[in-house]
Amino acid sequence: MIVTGATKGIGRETARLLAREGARVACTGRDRADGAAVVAEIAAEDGAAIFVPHDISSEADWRTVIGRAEAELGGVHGVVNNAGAFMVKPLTETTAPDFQYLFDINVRGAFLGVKLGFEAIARHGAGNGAIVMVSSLMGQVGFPGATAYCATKGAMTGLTKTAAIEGAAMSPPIRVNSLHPGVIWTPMITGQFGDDPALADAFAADTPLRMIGLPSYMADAILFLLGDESAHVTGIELTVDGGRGAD
Amino acid sequence: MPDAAIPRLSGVVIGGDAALAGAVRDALGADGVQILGGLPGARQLDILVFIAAAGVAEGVTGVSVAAFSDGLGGELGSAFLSLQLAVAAMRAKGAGGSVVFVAPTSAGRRAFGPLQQGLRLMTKAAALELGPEGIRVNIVLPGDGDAPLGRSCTPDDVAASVAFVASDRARFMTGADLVVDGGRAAR
Repeated sequence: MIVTGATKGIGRETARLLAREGARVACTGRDRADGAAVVAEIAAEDGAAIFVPHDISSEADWRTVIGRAEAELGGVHGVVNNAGAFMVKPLTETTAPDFQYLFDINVRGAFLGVKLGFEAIARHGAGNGAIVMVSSLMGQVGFPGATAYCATKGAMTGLTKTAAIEGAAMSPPIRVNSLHPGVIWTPMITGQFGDDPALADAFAADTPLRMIGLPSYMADAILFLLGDESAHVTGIELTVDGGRGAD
Repeated sequence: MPDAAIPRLSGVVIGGDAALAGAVRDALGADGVQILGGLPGARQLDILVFIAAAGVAEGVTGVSVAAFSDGLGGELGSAFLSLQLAVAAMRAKGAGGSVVFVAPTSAGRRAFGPLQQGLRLMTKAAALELGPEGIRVNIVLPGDGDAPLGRSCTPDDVAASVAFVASDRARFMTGADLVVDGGRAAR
């Protein structure tokens, strides 16, 4: 398994859960110290993982990640395209370079992950191949101040559905689904808005389930989408947001 | 000292044919859920699964108004009553709960499509209303017929998704759809 953005937040919890389930996990990301820490956490729970430095917008980096997963972990069963960049700016203040920056990471990165993931999963040939795209509730509804981010997450939806149809025709088939988290208490959120417990309480109050999302909840959903339980699930958008999007 | 014979969770499964209802009961049972006989007798409850009938597989000109009204109103009414009774039993226990509606998506192309869409909106309305009490409400939408994955949806496919949504693994999921259709709706 490859989990991008595994150094923090949702990716980190997902890598740990997959390792507890017996997967050998390539944890990728930009921060080497955090990457080493995740690998150490997994090793402490008797799991198997490696860290590979990774700029997901770089095709060369992707080929390095997949090469190391194939050489050191025995092949690629699945990919969790989790890494992403976030930005809050009003539309009129968002520059074309801002937009390009987000697109390079969130869309080009996810595109490379699916394309090269398909190739690697097909080479492995073990069956039950699956890819999970970690999108956002903001890929389904608008959010003021996040035009560029919402656009990138919307683009991931089309990427997911088309890849799902093409993946279904492969032999053995590869499933592709997108996960749409609501507000999850991760460094992506705290880095933007501040690591303030009062803010977490405010988000919870604004969520029908009256709770803040935790990365482990997303890891559970990702495990479901990767595993046999969802053998007939492909091309879907799974929203796990505490009910925010139901209104 | 807790009695090991008392299960942690109890659930009721309403509707569905024998194969589907049986698969759902088995999947919940494998998660440690005790299956109760029915709703009127349930004093305390954690999980309700309501499986809607697929409706008559006819086009909009092939069904009488009376049959349409009976089918749609009867099934939505059953779902509504089941929801009300289940919520009362969940409140009695006071530990939240999980309601899972199941509605076949094939109905979307036939006269009974409004049943599926009605249940989807009932799901969202109930999720918003009951969320603050920790009661989650979601809908599983199985597809049938041709699918990109090259096979039909089985009762076990549906049951596995229902069991996931009903469980604590989906504790942050409410008001949401889970489509189980082999990629049909993605086209």
